[in-house]
Amino acid sequence: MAPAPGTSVPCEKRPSIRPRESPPPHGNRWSNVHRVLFAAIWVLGQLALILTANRRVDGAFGFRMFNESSTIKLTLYREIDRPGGRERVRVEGGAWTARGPDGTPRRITWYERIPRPRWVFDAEMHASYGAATQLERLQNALDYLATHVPEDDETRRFVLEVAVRRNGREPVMHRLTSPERTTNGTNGEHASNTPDSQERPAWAARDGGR
Amino acid sequence: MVSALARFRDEIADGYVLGTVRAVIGVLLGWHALSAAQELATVGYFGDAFHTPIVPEALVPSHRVYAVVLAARVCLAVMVAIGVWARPALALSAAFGLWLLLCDRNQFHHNRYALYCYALLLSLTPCDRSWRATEPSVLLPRRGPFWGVRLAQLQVSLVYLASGGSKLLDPDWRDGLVLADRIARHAHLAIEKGVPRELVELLARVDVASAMSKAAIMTELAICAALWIRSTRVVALWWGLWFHVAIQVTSKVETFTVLTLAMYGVFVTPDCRTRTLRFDPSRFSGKLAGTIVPALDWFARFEVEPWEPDDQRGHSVVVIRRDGERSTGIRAFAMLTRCLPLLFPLWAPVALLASFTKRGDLTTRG
Repeated sequence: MAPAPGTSVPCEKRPSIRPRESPPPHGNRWSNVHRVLFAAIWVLGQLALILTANRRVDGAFGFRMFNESSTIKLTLYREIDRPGGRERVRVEGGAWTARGPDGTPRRITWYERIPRPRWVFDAEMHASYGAATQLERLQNALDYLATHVPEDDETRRFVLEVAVRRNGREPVMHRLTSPERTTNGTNGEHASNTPDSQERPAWAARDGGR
Repeated sequence: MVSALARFRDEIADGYVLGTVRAVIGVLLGWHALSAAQELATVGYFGDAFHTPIVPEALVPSHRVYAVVLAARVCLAVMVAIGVWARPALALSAAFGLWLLLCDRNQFHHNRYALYCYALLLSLTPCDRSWRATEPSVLLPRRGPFWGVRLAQLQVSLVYLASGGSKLLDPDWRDGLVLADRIARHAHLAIEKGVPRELVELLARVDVASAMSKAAIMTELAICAALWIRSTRVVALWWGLWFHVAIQVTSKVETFTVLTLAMYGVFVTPDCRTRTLRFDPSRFSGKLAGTIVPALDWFARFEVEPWEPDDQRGHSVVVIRRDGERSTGIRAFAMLTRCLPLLFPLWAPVALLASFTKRGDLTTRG
């Protein structure tokens, strides 16, 4: 068989609508210096981020994919002062009813204040980016919650029990507590560190996936 | 060392293949921007609720600025995908994306960070010379500085090195605990989808999971290096493709699979139509090849030309390789599976089969 006239035109033969000049093979001196400098900074920066990922609890910028297969199970409580002393009340599904500053009951949900990450309560869920990451994020969320529910004039403290099952092992219970809240309508006053919050480095060390 | 640096700095090559990569990256940037916009509409502005900025709070955008930035990201993604001011659009997309990642640690994901890194590096390459919706003709010259491509290749390898290395150093990963637990927890889903129970139970066994973990670690570390060696590159790409498909099927990884497979494009040899495919238009199979190959030849590997029909008995398709060798039959098909991205998953078994033919070989030449 003999070749017929081609149906596709080689790239090199195609007409150019807007021809451009390629840079000369060696460019100018400054351009060359910038290329090498940029590349060096980029590579060294990436290596530094990867090698120091251990120092960040979530290993951010370290490309540690699927670092754990841990799960967490959250149970939220709120502590209320009663005449007989402090009482711990379980919060079902992240929503509760509390007396507001004007004395009327208000319906409040965790998800209004903390829509993301999407944590679920009273059910086992995957600990994205590892158990230590989740514990730290949950502690931050709890601190945030304590200062962002002005309509709750009743709760003195939020407590979160977290059952952590790390890579299929037996579950270990962690208790996270929010700062103490005032109940005079001016929410958001941080109490000094409670014994629980002082324990934070302990779980980080015990459960730290990295 | 000095000569390698000089080669890195001065290399000029054909940028056609990068157009494909750029277009896919544009789609991914758009997908992430639209997802964020959807979340803004349904969940609300992240700054009004619990968030953990890495940068100072003053640098977190207001609700209105955030909405404008999201709209800009969508527009930039479209520009990247269709090749209009593609390189500045890539750089700006990367800058916006990284900024927003730094504004809320809770929304940080490795695949998003990797996407913005790749977008930034791609903006330094001649990726705007092909796959352009507005000016379909290929700009001449297509050749451009390739140092950005080498950096992008290095970044792909660094991701594998970091991922594989961290698993290697983690005893739970090495011993298979992570994988065994993962399989055990998702066993019911796999069985619901029709995977035989016996197979799932076998995979969840600690010794099997341990072997699979070691294979996964080895895969990541081997791909990291094999991508840089010409003779092993195609094997690494094929193995990596199936590795990522397996991850995609068994895990929620957002767009990480598509992103990594798209970035495999930066390892494609930077040339254009250096192989030729001749087809016999008088035969159905020849006509089929003459239609399908140009449509699927996203990296412009083949010059496709018909043979003039005559009364001689011959082949429907002949592939003339880079080295001038002619391939027909299963060997030609092996060449097609190697060069056409959609057929690439079939490459290794087809190439193995082709190696048993009279003129077949098991090398990755051609």
